[in-house]
Amino acid sequence: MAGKGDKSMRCLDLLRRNSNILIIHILVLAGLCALPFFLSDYYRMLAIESIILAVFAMSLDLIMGYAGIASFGHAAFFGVGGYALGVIIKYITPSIWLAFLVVPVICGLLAFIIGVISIRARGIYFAIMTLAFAEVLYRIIFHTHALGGSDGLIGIAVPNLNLAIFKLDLKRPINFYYVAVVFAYLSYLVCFRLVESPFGRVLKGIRDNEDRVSFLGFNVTHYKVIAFVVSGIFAGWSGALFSLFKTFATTEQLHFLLSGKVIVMNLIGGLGTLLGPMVGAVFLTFFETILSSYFAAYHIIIGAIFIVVVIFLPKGLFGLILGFRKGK
Amino acid sequence: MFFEVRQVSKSFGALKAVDRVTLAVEKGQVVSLIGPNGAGKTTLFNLITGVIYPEKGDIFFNNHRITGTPPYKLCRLGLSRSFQITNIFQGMTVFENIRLASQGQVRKFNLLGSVSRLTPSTKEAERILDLLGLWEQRDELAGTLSHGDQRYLELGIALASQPSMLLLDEPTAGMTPMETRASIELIKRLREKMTIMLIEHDIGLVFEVSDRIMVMNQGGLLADGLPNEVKNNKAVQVAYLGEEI
Repeated sequence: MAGKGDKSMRCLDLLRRNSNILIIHILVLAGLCALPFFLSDYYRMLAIESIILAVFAMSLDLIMGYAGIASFGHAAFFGVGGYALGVIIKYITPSIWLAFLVVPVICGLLAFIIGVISIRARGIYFAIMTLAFAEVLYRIIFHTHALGGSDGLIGIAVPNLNLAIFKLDLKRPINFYYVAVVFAYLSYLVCFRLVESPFGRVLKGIRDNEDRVSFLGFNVTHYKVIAFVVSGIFAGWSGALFSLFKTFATTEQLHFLLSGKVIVMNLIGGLGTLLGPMVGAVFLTFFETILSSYFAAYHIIIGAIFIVVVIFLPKGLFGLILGFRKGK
Repeated sequence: MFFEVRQVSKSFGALKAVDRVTLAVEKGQVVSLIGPNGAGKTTLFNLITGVIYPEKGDIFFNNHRITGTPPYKLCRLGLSRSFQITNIFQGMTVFENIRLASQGQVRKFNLLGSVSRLTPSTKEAERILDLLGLWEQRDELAGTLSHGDQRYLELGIALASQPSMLLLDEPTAGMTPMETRASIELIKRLREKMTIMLIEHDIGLVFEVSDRIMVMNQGGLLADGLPNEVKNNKAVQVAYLGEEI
């Protein structure tokens, strides 16, 4: 009896200490749930896309922001995730659940192979290795007719999402929006848990001082590979959801342009904060789309913003938000 | 023998950094490695701790052949080291530095647990902070500590893996005389629990704490003996100690 009381006391204590965070979570979720009602169809679609890209950006943050290992080919996992979902739904069985179970296996395995081979190289050498792998995959898929070649894998018929009690029609954007929000929120919770875990502390140690970490009894290589695999899995999941949303998977999804863009999202949003890269992804997606409708050479402005943020806001836009909250 | 280096050599190009060094350390001893700059002391430490591989020779620790064993495995065997150039986690708090080091003793990967529940690591970290007198600074960022405190933290990180043998590379480099004094007392307390091998330039400290002293010069071992024997060794006086004694 006493033990039970202790436990509930501890829960209550935990709740009290984290009440601010809980309130923020509820407010943000409520805001996200209400948002589509204020958006036109066009912006609703854009919101879905940006939320999916937010998870992709966060997946890169796990390795780049926390373990300090930059990947220049992260789109490989995003693209392979998309193609894997496409193949499963188009040719095997129209089950979203199955696709979302298989995608992490494929992307995790891919990340493991790339990771094991590349991780011994450090810094820029590792980054270039990942770029090379991504380009090879890009070329392979580009020249594979069974996967649609340069046209991509088109015409993925979006099946209903079976939620046991009812089937959710994902062809309705509003439903897809909520699925994307739930996906992003759950991904964030898992990633947050991960970076705050003992494992996450070791990653931060590797980022700060890789050599010393190995003297503390940690096998740095194993830690880096595991982080890379987890990162690849989340990138794959987000890519799968992206393809489901677009109803096609294209080679652009694993092109180095996207690998570069997701790095920009991380840097603009704030590396090593999880939420920052998500903010960066949403910001960049919306900003780019809105700007491009007014101004053909909009990349100039994005480039300028990028430079300003990198120089003046080392913790990105998210750092700016946190700074205001602390009244700094 | 608890720890043994046999005929270990390492060259960098034409320079013989470590040249056929053979030495042994008994369990529970405090042994100092002295010698002029460039004598090969730190290179020897790097050879012992798997940072670089010896070209020839073998190293044994606690009945294991550890020649070329990577640092993380050495740490698990109970061999830990500190560095000449402060090598801490600048962006973490003092407490997190030590807890991370202590966490190295937990072998499994814990991806979804909570660090605050790592009770043994937390307890150990608190014990070490207290031992080093860093308790007050526990929540400060390591990078903001004074030089002397960073040196203590450096030592604390090495201690947190609960080694049976500790290699200290110039633990008092850049410390004030008072801080050095405190370090001497600390080493005296540590010797009850572990074997210590230290590289040190502070001759006063060396003679106060050492059971044995080894002198290196130009990659080779020049002398190896009790403090008094080393003090009276002509070759050592010429090569290194000079007027100081």
